[in-house]
Amino acid sequence: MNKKSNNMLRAENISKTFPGVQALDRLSFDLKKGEINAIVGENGAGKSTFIKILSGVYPQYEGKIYILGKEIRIINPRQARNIGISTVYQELLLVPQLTVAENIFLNRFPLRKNGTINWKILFRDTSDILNKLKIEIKPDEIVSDLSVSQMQMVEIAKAIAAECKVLIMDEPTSSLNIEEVRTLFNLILDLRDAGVSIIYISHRFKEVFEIADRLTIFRDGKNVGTLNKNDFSFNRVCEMMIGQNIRNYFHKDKVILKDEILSLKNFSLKGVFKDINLCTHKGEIVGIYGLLGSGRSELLQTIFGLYKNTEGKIYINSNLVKINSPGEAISSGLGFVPEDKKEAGLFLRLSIIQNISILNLDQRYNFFIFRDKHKKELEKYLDIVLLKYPNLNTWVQNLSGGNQQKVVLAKWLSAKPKILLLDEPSKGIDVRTRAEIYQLITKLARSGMSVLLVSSDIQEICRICDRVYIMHEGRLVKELYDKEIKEEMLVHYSSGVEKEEEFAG
Amino acid sequence: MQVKNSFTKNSPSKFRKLNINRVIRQQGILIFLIVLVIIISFISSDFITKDNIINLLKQISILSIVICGMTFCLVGGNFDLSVGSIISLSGFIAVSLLSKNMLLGIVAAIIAGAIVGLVNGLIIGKLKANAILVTIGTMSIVQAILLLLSKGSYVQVPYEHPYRIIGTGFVYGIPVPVIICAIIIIISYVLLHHTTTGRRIFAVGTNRVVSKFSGINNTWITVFTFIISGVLAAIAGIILASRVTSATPKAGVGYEFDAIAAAVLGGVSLFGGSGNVLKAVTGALIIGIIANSMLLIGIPFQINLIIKGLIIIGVVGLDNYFRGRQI
Amino acid sequence: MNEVTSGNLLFKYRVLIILLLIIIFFSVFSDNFRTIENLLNILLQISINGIIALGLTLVLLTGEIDISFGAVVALCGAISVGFQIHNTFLGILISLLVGMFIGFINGFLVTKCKINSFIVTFGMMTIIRGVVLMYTGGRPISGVDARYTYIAESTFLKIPTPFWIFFILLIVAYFFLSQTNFGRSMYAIGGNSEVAKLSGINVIGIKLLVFIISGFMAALSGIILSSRLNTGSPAFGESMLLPVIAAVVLGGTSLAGGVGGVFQTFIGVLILGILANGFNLLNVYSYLQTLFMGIILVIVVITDALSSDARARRSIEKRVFK
Repeated sequence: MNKKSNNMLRAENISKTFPGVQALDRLSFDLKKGEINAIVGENGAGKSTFIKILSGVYPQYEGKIYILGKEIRIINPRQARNIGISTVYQELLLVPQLTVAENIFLNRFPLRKNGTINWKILFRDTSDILNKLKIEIKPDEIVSDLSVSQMQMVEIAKAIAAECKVLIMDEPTSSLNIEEVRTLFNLILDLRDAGVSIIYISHRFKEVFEIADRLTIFRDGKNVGTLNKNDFSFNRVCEMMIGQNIRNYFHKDKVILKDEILSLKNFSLKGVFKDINLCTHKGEIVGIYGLLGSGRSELLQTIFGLYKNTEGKIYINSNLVKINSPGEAISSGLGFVPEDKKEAGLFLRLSIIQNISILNLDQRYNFFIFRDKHKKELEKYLDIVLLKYPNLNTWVQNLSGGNQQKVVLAKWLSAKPKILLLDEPSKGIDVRTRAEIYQLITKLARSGMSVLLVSSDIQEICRICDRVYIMHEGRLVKELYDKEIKEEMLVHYSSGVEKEEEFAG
Repeated sequence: MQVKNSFTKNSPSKFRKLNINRVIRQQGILIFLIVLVIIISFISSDFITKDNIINLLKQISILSIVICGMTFCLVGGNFDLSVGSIISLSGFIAVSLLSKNMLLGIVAAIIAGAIVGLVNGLIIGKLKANAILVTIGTMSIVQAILLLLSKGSYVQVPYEHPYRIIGTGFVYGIPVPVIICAIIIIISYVLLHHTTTGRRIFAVGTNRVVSKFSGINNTWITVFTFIISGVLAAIAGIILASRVTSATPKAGVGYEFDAIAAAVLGGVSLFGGSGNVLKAVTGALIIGIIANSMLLIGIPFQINLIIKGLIIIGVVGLDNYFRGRQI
Repeated sequence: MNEVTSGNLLFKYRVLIILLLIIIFFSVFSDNFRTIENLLNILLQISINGIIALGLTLVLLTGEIDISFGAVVALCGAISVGFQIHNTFLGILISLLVGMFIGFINGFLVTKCKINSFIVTFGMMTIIRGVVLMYTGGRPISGVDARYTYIAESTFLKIPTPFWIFFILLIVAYFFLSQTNFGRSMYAIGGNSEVAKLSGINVIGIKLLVFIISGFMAALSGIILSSRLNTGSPAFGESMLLPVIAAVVLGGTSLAGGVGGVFQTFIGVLILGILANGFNLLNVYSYLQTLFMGIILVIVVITDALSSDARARRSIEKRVFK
C-alpha cells in the first residue's frame, strides 16, 4: 500500500447511515501535514457527520481512517483527543457555571502530587493560551458572564489547549466580529506554520478563500473534488456544490416606493440604543447593518415587543401603536424571524405542521379545535417557501438548517404580516437556500410587504436591500440608498466614522 | 388533523415498518392495563364483579380529578406540589361552613383553591421562579394556615347532611364521585386537547422562548394551568371530606406525589409539552387497580406499597426501553 | 484560593444576611437563645438533616434528584436498632451497607436503565416504606443495647458527636468538590452533561457514586436519629422530605444541577435549624414555624428570580458595549 508520507490524516471510503438517511457514501478525504483544508457543502452534504466521526462522537462507521499512515479506529471522543484530534463545534460546548480555566482544561487539570488541582499552574497555562489568542478575559471569569463571541473564543482556546495535531473547526466565526476573525485567522496561520493540520468548515466563502490552502467540496455524502488555492473561484465551487451555476440565481430589481408603513421616532432602549429615527415603505427591503454590539438585533427585538423601549414611539400606517409584548406586535401586523432558529424560531420536537400552525390561533379558530380545517391553507405557505418535505409530520429538528429556516418563514407568512422583521436570516445557511430565501424576500416585498432586515453579512445587505441604515454603538449614523450601498461604505460607517467628508468616495 | 402531542407520534418514516414496536410505544400503558386486568381476574374471581368495579372507580375518582389538574401543570412545564394542602384546605372550608350554607361552603372552597393557584401561577409565571420550590412553599403556607384555623383538630360532617351525597351518594347506581370525575375528565380533555388555549399550553411547555417569540403570553398560560390545578384539587377535597364525613388538616397529604406518579405512568412528560389527559387518568386507574386487587387477594398493605413502587419504576423503565430514550 | 463555586455572589450574601437577621431576632426576643447550651442544642438538631442534605446536594449538583432519603432513614434506623439483639456493631455496619446498596440500585436505574431519577427515587421510596413496615411490624421497635444512645448523646470537647460527624463530612465534601478533578467534574455533569461526556468524564460512574453516597448519608442519619431514643420507627423521615429539600435549595444549590455547594447547604440547614429552635424557645406553635418556613422559602425564591431577571437585563447592555 502506497502510504503518502506527508498525509496527516486520510479517510478512505467512509460510509454512515442514520434511520432513512445515507449521510456519508464512500467518502474519501485527505489532509496533508501543516495545511488548511476547508470543507464546503450544502446543509446535509455530510460535513457535520464527517467531523463527528473524526472526533469520536459517532463510533459506528464503515471505512478506514489513517493517522500518519497508521490505521486507527476512532471509538470515542477521549481517544480522538488522545490521538491528537481536537474539535471546535458550532454549538458552544461549555459549562456555564465553571470558570474559563476549568472549561478549557476540563478533566485534564494539572494536578499536584497529592491529586488535588494545581490552581496556580492551571491559571497560568490558561493565561498563556488566552494571551496567544489575544482574548481579554481573566482565567477565573465564570463562563456564563461572558458574551457570545467571547464564549466562542474560549471554545477555540479549548481546542488549541489540547495541543493537537489535527484541528477541526466548524463555523468558528459565526459569532465573531471582524477584529476577532482577524485574530483567529492569524492564529490559525501560526498553527499551520507550526505543523498543525487544520480542517475548516464554513459557509462563508470569502473567509474560506482567504484562509484555506485547499478546498474540498462535499455533496450528498460524497467528496466531489478538491481545489488548490490558485483554482479557487466562486462559480467553480458553486458548480461543484450544487451541480449548477448559481450566479444567475438571483437578480435585484429597482423598487418603486409607495406609502410609509413603519416609522420609529426617537426610539430608545436605555443602555442599548438611542434616538433611532427610521422608516420603511410598502414594498421596500430596508437593511440595518452594524457590528456586533451596535444594538441592531436588540432594536429589532424591541420593535417586536421583546423588550420595552424606554423612550420614543412607533407608528404603523401613521397610527401610533403601543407594543409591549410579541402578542401585541403580531396583532399590529409585525412578524419576526429570529436569529436563532433553533432556540427561538422553532419547536424542534414538534412537526412542521404543528410549528406553522401556532400563530394566529384565534383568527383561525373560535376557541374550540376539533378538526384542523386549515391544513391545506397552511401547506400553501410551505409551497411558497419552496420547502421540500417528506412528510408534514416530520419533526423539524430532522430538517436541514436551510429547510428549518424555510419553515420559520412559512410560519410567519401565514400570519400575513404588514412588516416582516428578519434577524440574520441566512446565518449558517447554505448557498442555494440562501439564494432561494433572497428571491422569496424580494417577491414578498414587491407584493406589498415591508421588510426590515438586520444582518452582519455585508454581501447580503448589498445584494438585496433597497435602503440601508448603519448603526454604531447604539446610534444610527448613516442612511444609504441604492447605488450608495457598497461594501466599503458599510465597513466605513459601521466602524464609527461620522463625517462624510472624510470618506473620499 | 388531530394534533396528538406525544413524543413518539412524530418519528421518521422508517419506523412505519416496525408497526408493533410503535403500537406498544404509543399505547403501552393501555396494553399494560389490559394485561394487568386479565391477570388479576384470573387470580381473584371477585375482581370483575359489579360491586368491586364500582368500588374501584369510587376510590380512584378523587385521585383522577387531581391528576387532571396536575396534567395541565405538567404539560405547561411545571409541577404543582401544593395540591395536597389545597385538598385539605378546601375540605375544611366546605365542612366548616356547612352550618351556614352548604353551597356557600363549596363555592368558598373552590375559590380558595383558585386563589392558591393564582398565587402559584403569578410567582412561577411572571417571576419565572422554580415551580417545585414555590409550590413547596405555598404548600407549607397553606398547611400552616389550615392548622391555625383548625387548631389541629378536625371538623365533622353532621349526620344525614345532604353534603354526604357528594362523596357517598348514588345516581342510577353510579356513585356521585365517579360522575363528577367523569365530567371533569371530559371537560379537561376537551380543554387541553381541543382548544386554542390548550394548544398554547403545549407550546409553552415545549419551549417558553419560542412560545414568547410566537406571541403567546407565557404568564397568563402558566397562571391558567395553576388555577385549574387549584380548582380541581379543591373539588377533590370537597368530595374527599364528604366521603370520609370529616375534614382533617392532613387529609390531602401525599396526593401530590401520587398524582405526579400516576401522570408519569400515563405518559405525561416531566419536562413539559407532552401528555394526554386520558392516558394520565389511566395511570391512576393502574395504581387503583393494584391497590384494589391487593385488598381482594388479601395481600397486606406493606407489600402493596412495595409492588406500587416496583410497578412505577418498571412501567417507566419499559416505556423508556421501547422509546429508546430517557423521559 | 477562593471557593470556586458557581452562582451569583449576591445571592450567597443574601442568604448570609437572612441568617444574621434571624440570629439577631431570636437573640433579642429570647434570653434562652443566647446560651451555649442552646447553641450546642442547635448543632445537634441540625446534624441529622444536615448529613442528609450533604448527600442530596451532591446528587443535585450532578443534575439528578433523590427523594428516597426519608424512607432510607427509617429503614436503616430500624435495622441498626433491631440488630442489637445480635451484635450492635454489626447492625450499624449492615445498616450503612443497606443504605449504600439502595443508593447503588437508585444510581443503576438512573444511569444504566436511563429512568428519570424522580421516578426511580419516588418508586424506591414507596418500596422501602413497605419494607420498613414489614420489618418493624408497623410499630416502633426498641433496642436492647443501651450503649447505642452513645452515638447521639456523646460529646467531644462539649460539642455533640453527631455535629462532629456532620462537620467532618462537610469539610471532606467541600475539599473534594473544590479541589479535585472528581469534584469539578460533578459540576460539569450538572452544568452541561454533553460537554462532560465529550471531555471523557465518566458520567455514569460519578452519578452512581453520588447516589451511593446519598444512600450512605441517609443511613448514617437514620442511625443517629434512632440512637437518640434507641428506637427505630417506621414513621421516621416522613416529614423530612421538605425541610431537607428546602434547606438545600435555600442555600443556593439549584434543582437543575451544576450550581451550588456544600457550604451553601450548610447555611441553609443552619437557617432552618435556628428558625425551628428559636420558634420553639418562643413557644411558637409548630404550624406557625411551618408557615414561616414556607414564607421564607417563597421570598428567597422570588428575590432570586427577580435578581436573575435583572442580571439578564444587565447582560444585554454588557453585550452591546463590550
